[in-house]
Amino acid sequence: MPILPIEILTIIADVVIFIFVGYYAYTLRKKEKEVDKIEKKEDADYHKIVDNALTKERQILEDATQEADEIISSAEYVRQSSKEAIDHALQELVKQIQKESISTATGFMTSYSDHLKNLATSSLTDFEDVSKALQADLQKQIKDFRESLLPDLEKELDEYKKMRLKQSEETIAKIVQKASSDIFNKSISLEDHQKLLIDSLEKAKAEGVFD
Amino acid sequence: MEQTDFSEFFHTRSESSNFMARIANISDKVFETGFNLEKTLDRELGLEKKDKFLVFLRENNVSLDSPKELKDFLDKLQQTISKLPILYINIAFDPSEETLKLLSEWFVLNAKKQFVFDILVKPDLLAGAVLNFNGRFFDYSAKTKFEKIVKNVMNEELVSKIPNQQQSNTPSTN
Repeated sequence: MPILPIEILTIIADVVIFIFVGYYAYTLRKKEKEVDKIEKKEDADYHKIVDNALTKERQILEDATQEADEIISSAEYVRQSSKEAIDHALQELVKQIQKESISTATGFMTSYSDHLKNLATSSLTDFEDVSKALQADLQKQIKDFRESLLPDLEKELDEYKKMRLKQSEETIAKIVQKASSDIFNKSISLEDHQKLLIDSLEKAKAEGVFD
Repeated sequence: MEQTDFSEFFHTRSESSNFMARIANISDKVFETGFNLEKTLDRELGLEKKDKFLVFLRENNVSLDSPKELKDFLDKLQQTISKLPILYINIAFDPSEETLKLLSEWFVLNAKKQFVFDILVKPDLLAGAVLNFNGRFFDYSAKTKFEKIVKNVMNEELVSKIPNQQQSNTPSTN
């Protein structure tokens, strides 16, 4: 095979390829520039829109703040004026209540003292009647007591005294008997006891007990 | 045997019951094989009373070699003891052995027979005795007389004082 045509073809092919690549790169660069241009334009539009929005937002906020301040001021004014009106009304109300309560209390005191006076007068009269009746009844009871109950009481008291005295005597007698028995028993010796026992048997024999 | 004095063996009712029970034990063993009277008496009555009982048997002419005669005598002895009269005595002191012996001797000497005593100690009798024989009571204690004396003395004391007290305590009535 001849080599030179092949090499020439190869070189031509390379050149073609090189031209193609260069053209492609140029085209590509051109497109990139266009894209950049578009991007810048859009970026500028975006910033413009955003700036407008921010400006509008600030304006709205300012308007809203101003309006709120106006509302607050007016509300404060209303509150202050309402408070003054209410205070005034309350003071008037308190004065009225005080006047009425004083007059009511005065009236109540007057009627209460009149009522008490009447009650005291009628109670005193009733009490006098009752105490007179009680006195009469008591005198009658004392008289009845002196005539009937007192003698019975005195008699019962005497009998009670006698009974207690008798009980005391019996108790004393028992105690004395017991004490003297104990002492007597301890003072007798065994021999004396035996002797007295034999004496008892002698008496029994004399009476014929063992016959 | 009715006039026999058993005071060497017992004085009281409980002692006589005990003695009779021991005699009954001896009587039951008389016909046993290998019966030894002395050993049995020693075991049942003790050394001192054993000797006295052997003397008692001899005095009553009991043949110690004849079990039948011995048994008959022991049975008769129990009957005699059970018929002894019982005297219930209440006294104010705790009697000693000497007191019981004295009592037994007195009855043998004066009543000509032995009595068995059932003694109850009651200190409130003070002295003397209360006898209960054949269902009848005889009070020879010092208690009644003593109580009477004390009561008389107490009454004299109280009567001498009460009229003065009653005059001062009685309220005057108008």
